[in-house]
Amino acid sequence: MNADVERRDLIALVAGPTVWAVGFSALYGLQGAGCQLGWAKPSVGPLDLLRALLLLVWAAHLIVLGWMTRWTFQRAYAPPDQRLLRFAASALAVTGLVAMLWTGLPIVFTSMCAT
Amino acid sequence: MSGPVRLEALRRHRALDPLFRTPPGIRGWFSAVNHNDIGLRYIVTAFAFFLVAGVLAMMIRAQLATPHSAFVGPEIYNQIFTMHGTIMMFLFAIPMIDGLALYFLPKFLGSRDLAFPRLGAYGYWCYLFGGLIMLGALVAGIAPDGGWFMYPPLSSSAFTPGINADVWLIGITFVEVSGIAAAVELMVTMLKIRTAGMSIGRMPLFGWYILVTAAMILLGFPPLILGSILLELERALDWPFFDPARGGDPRLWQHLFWLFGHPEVYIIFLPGAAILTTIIPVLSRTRIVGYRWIVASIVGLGFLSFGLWVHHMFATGIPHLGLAFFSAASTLVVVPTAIQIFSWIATMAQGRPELKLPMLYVLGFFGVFVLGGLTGVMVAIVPFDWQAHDSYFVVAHLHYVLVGGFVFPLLAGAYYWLPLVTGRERVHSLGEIAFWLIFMGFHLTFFLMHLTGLLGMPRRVFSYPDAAGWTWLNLLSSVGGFVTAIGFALFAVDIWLNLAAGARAKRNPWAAGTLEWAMLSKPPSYNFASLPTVADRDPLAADPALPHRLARGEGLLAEVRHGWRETLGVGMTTGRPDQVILLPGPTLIPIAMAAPTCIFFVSLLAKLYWLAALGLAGMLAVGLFWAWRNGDVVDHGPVAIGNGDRVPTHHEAEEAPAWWGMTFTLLGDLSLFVSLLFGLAFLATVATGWPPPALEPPPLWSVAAGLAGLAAAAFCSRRAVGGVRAGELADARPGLLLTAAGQAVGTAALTHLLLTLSPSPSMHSYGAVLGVMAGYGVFHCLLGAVMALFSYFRIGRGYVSRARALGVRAGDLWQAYAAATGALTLLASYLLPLVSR
Repeated sequence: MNADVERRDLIALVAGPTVWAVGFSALYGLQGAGCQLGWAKPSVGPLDLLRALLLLVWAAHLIVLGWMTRWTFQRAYAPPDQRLLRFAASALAVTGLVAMLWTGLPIVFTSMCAT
Repeated sequence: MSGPVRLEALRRHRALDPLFRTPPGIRGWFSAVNHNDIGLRYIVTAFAFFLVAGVLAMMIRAQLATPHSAFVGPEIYNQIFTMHGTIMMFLFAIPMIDGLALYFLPKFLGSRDLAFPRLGAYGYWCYLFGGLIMLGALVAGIAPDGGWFMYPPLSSSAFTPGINADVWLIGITFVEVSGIAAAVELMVTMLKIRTAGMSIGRMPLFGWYILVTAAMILLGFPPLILGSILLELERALDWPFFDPARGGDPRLWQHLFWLFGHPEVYIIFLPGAAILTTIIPVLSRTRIVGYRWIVASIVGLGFLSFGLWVHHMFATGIPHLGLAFFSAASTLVVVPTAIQIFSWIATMAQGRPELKLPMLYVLGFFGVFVLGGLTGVMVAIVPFDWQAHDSYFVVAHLHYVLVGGFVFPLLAGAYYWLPLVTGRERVHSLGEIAFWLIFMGFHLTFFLMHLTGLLGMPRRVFSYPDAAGWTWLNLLSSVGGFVTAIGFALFAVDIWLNLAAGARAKRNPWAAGTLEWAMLSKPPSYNFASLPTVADRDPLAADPALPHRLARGEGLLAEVRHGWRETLGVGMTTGRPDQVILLPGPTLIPIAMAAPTCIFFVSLLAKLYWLAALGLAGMLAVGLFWAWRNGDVVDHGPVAIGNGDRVPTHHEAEEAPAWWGMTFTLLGDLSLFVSLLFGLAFLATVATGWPPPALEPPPLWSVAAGLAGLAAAAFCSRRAVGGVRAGELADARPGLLLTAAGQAVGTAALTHLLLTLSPSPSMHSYGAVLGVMAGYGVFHCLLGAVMALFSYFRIGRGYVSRARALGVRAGDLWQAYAAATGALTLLASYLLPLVSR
């Protein structure tokens, strides 16, 4: 195994939770900025603009994490010296997916800017 | 061992020990770099600070034992509780973790030392000097008094006009230098400095825990360092980061503080879990259950812990959706924690647990930490948190988590590794008595605080009325506190008895399987006479004769050559040897570096800024001297390591520790810069008084010149690396001169920006944040220019060759980083005013 493969395995290990961290930060940042900029008032169909944007960002990250989960599961069968990292990468991709789903869920039912 | 074999082992000891051991006497005290000495110094110093903080805790309990207590007044009480929390968190917990990791990690990994022994020693001196500054302030009665989290506006100069808050901001930042240094050292060691065959899948779980902890320190400390810099700038120069009247917001401090503060809880818990994961299978006569799941849960916990910080700010008026995000994340973090707890329970159920003293503390951990975790879930739920916020319920919760999650495992570890560290057995059954006093006393003290809190007693009050109904609960808590203190005193006596009168311990008394027991008790200065090739997660269980074989020299790097202090470097995941690391010997460089660092911080505290500049210059001079002495002037090519294998020395290796050290340093640096960008975005969207008045971009020519200089620097540096790689050293040198020139142009542009900001840094928080970004850029570009010139001269003196390109390559990382962050600052300064219009 060369250094590039080593690095790829290590990056895959942290990829799932990293995408969650980026998505979670994006949701929190967008919510804060949107409330300050008044995006909770204009409507987009049945939704207000801010909720629509948050749902969009949430869904995009869920799709990416879903794809990553599938990809890591496909790579999980590996030679013995790579098996631990491949397994952990799969488990952490699932962690990222579940974390994204759970932490983004309040977008569906919570008020946007009420304090 | 038979006679000839023993003689052979003795011959190796006589060859290796003079190379690795610390010289005796006063010179040795100042020149030590060996991880055994530095690790133990950290542990002993941290325990001394623990005792000081414990005495402060007793003073708190004495004050609160009765209503209207006249023991101390509010001014002194504020200092006492602030210093209790500060010392426990910054001068006990983190340095104790550093000490444990520095001492034990090489032993677990089958190595003779850490990646950067001199950096470890430098970190220790920073910790000691910073801690002494804090302690001196306490003795002088000018200690910090605004709570361990130093919230502005209370800690701003308007409400804390004296030096108290400055002591905290500057002293803690000084101490955190040691945390960052240790984090870089531990991460590189974990990934690169292991013995042959120790693939990442065979790494002891202790190592995985320390790896994630170190990464969390590296990413979690910079936000607090940044917050401390900003608050000190506000106090010293009136730059209004936290002043709402001038576009600042005190909640920015809370964000920065808790961006550090919540991961800090897991930074403290994970090493405790590392100890438990090591001890439980050994004392249960079995192997750990769920190794792979534990690895995944450690990494997952590390990430999730960075998504919880706002749950400390539920009462600050954040919109419900924001609260819900963090409430959800706070409940989620229970899952990876529970995976570990269930793994430990399953391991005990699978094996045959022995109720030895370390196991008592393990059971004590379960009885304390799990309760803390449950109340943690309670305060993660917003409506409950609003009820319990800032009450003694939270005091109870945090002590259950921190004492349960760290102190109980630490005491378990102390008794588990005592025979290894001291080479002696315990004398009496004093340890069991100490355990029961600590366990019972702890619950008496803190369980009742849940009730005191629910009855409405707020934190940090120095007195309370009799009619409040908290009297008996407080009195019983105080009694419990003193019982706990007696328990810790007995623990200290027990350790002293072990040192003074313990019988000689036999090797590996617990029949453990990890490598730290494959050496003499107590460990020799070089750890292993020869390095093992491992094929199992528990190498000692697989081959009980391993210690004798290593002592006989049947492992790798068995012979001393050229007076080198050698250990192995391996592929990060494969564990295949890819280099021989040449370790440094005892030197005064670390303390020589720590001295000007101390001058710098103390001068800031005394507001002697000219002297602080001298301190900086001293650090630069010593740093250059330090770096100049690294490296080699000849190529050695691959050298034999045993078993017929040959690998290059680290000077000639592609994946050398120094390259990774620079990479991780820049990662921590990036965490600080990103925190600064977060601060700018936060203020721009949340603070009042935005957009700023008199907002003007800098002149276009200045920005354009700066961008051109920085782009040229990054480009020329990369070209210079290419030249060295191609063996064309003469062509590479002009590239380095151009790199220095480009960084100088960038420095000039950023300095110009700093001096001409509109609004000025003292007028509005926009100018203040941009001012810090410009200062950050000046520092990095200036240092980039110095590094480029340094490499230029190194090539001239023969330290660089086609194979020995390490210094130039590591420098290139810095050049690219400095250019990128400097360019971003210049662009932001020009574009933000245009966008704002």
